[in-house]
Amino acid sequence: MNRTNKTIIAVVVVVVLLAGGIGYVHYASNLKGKGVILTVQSGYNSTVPMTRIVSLDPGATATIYGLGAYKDLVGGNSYDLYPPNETLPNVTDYPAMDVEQIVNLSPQAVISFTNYSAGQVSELLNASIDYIFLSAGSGSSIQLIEKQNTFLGELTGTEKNATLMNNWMNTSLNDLKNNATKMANGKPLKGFYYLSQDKLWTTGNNTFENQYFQYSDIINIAGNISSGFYQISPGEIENGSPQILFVNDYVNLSRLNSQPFADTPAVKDGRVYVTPPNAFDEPDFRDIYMIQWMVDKAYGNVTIPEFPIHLKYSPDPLG
Amino acid sequence: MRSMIKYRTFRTYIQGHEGAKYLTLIFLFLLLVLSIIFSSFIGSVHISFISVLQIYGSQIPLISRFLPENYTTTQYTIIASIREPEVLGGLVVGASLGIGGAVIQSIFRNPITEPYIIGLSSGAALGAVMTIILGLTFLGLYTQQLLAFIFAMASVLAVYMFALRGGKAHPTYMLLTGVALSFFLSAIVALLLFSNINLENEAFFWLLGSLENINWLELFPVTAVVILCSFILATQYRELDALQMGDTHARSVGVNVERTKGLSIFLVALSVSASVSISGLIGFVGLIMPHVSRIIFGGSNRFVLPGSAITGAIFLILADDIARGAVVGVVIPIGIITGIIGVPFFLLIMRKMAGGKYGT
Repeated sequence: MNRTNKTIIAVVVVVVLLAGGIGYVHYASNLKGKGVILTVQSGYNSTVPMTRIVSLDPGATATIYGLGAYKDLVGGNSYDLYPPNETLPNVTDYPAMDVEQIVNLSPQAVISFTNYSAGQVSELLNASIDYIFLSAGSGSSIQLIEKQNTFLGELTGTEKNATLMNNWMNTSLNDLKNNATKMANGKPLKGFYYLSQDKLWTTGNNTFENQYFQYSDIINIAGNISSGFYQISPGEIENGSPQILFVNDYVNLSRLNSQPFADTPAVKDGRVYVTPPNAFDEPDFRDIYMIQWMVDKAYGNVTIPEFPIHLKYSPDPLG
Repeated sequence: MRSMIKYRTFRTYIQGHEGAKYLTLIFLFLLLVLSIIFSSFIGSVHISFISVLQIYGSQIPLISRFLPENYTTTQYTIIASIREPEVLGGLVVGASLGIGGAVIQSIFRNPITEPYIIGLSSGAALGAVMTIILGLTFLGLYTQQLLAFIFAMASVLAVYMFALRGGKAHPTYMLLTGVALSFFLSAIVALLLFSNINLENEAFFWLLGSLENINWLELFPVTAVVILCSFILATQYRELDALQMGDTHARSVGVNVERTKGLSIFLVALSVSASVSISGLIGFVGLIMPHVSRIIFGGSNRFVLPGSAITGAIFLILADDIARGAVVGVVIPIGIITGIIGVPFFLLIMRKMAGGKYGT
């Protein structure tokens, strides 16, 4: 490399660094202020409720509706089921997130229950939109659902309704557990949740579905084998010998005619129940009704208090 | 038949006249500018063409005060924070892949090589997939990009060091080492994906590449690296031309062969690693665009290098338009587009311009 080339390269390096530096300063000075990431743990440290929220989380959409703050939602997602007849613009089809559509709605925050990429989150934060991450799926619990209710209540200024919702959940859970225990009469059924058709996916320990088994006083045969959502072996199902089967509505029931299910007491006694469409998919307050459904199928009819907040559409998925 | 002869005559004319080559480069550059403006207009939110131009103008010091501001703050945010970094990301990534491909093909004297062949892509894939599968966040929000970059550079270094014998890295030996290491690292990537099949979707998107979500904060440093590396590589065109003729010839005309190869491979690795760290693995560009450039300009790297950079950038920007615009609300991984659109496009160019023959 000759002297001229070296000089040119040195000049280019300086120009690039200067241009980059000036460009960055210009960009940073034009930012309205970056958004922040909020979680249940961090809480919402403001007394001013948000009035423009995009929900990419079906559970959060349902909860915000349940809290009576649906007017504060300006965007939804393709998985939203409750409330029915939703008219919110759909701005996501996971894992894609249409950031342009979201920014165009001028929201203050985006709620998500799943891990979008750092790039997607950065784009939201750079557009001065807060990113609210709610944990879901494996590791979730009734307690976490209640914390999320409180958090979403603070966010939308409906703390009182959040308290009502949580009290209703706790009272209902107590009633369900007491009644189920009484009806089981010391002989709780052994149950299994057949989650996915392709392989023997089920829900083990540390899942919200496992807690539902506990509140229903049913022994989840997968609960003591492994944690989270996992594939159970045919032998473990045979050994577990479930007396009641809850089958996801996506599963073809003809699978139960072959092993490892065919010889289980549940299939022999005809105690196989297909979960209502989309039940157990999202951890939110409406799952109380699903626990009620499980107790009903296992031991008999039980009642729970009426939902304390007046809503146009009943929160009961079976109602 | 007549049009084919016309193309060949045109190509022969360009290759035979220095001035025509410069004019062609200027034409391609204007095409690049037009594709940038056109691409900024495309998106799921409609913003008028005039508003797009005004928003661009508002970012130019001195000029901005004379322009009307008939756009909303939201429109400004969409153009300046979302579309601009994505389009300019396409420019930077496309240029680095194009120029990297041209350099690697010159060094290895092999038309089917590309920057990824030296272990770079599999290294980057390992870094990125590890971050996704193991949920690594120890380097902050950009852990994935940083690990992809570090692993890509480490892989190239490993290939180079392994191929180095007595101060010399034989091209074929290095190529085979690169291929072998790529298979090895790809197996580890597959094992990681197999261990947590739930995250396969997220990793899949990275492995097919995407310009979506590139933001200014990651684009600034990558742009600086790519400009710097590309410029130094462009000044090496004489040495690269000599290397195309073989090591013996290069030495006979005074080229320090090993130093040139080492420096060039390092710069390509640096530039392309930085690019793929923000875009994921985008195939085809680094392999084909140098050939398109050679078909237009002939064999000399003096024009092939800038030509590859510009055609690579144009191609990637337009491919991204299709990726964003083909299905409303869904961004298709750009690797799918570059393959589906790019291959027929290249075959057409080969047929029209090279007339079935190819040579430097």
